[in-house]
Amino acid sequence: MKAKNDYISLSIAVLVGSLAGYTASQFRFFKIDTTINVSETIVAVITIIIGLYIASSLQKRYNQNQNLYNYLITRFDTLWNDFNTLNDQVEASDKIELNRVTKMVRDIQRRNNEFKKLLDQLNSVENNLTDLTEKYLTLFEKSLIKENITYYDGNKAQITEQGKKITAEFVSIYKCINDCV
Amino acid sequence: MLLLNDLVMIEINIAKDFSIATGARYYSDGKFSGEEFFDTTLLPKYEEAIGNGVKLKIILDGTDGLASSFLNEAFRKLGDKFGSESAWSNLIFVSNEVPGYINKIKEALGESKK
Repeated sequence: MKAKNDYISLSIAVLVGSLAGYTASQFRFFKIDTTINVSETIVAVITIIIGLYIASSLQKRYNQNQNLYNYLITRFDTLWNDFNTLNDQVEASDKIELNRVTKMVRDIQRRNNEFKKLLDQLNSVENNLTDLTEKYLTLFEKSLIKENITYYDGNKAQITEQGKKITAEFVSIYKCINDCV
Repeated sequence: MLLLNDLVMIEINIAKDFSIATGARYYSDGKFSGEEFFDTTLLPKYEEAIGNGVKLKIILDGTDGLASSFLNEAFRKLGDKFGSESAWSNLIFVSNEVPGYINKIKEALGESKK
């Protein structure tokens, strides 16, 4: 079966090669018309200029979007990673310094204000990260606090649930950045 | 017309004058609580500002974040003592990092008894 296939392939290659060789040897097909058609030449030049302009505009717009995307995604990644680090510790333990949570929430809210302004310009949907993180912090504050350490064992289920909501919101914003920019 | 009193303000920078790492609501919660901030910083400065007939400027930026309970306790007590509307009218806030803190303070003053 394999030999038969090889035979067919070889025959086709020989036929195509012969045809190409024969065609190329007929050099009279390559006669060049030395006369110049002025109107066609002008149209061709204008077409080239318009083509170059469109290509240049598209490239410029692509670069601008790429810069905005890189700016947003870099800042967003940092924020998301910081939250994940904190949330992982929260899930693993039953106490944490309140200050760590307030700092994280402050960072999220501060940067989210920037995101909101930028994403609003891109006609994106509203995000609820500020409200969600506010509720997250409140759950720690409602727990027992001693020496500025919050013992949140009693609220752990709610805190974990709120952490999941915040993660889902991060995913939503991430999709939004990818779709909008 | 602007008066000199409108330009000269008494100022509290929470990060510099109190603590970068503020705490929660009560003394019993730990150091740098809202109660402590009210007693040691907010009340004396507020009375000084009122005494001089100027507004009290409070800078909320520069800390490691402020807990809702911290803000609520400090400013609710201020509202209890001086009246919420009067206290609000004598305060000026700077909160570029998290503008939402100003809303929390407004809510806290609204919860005060006066």
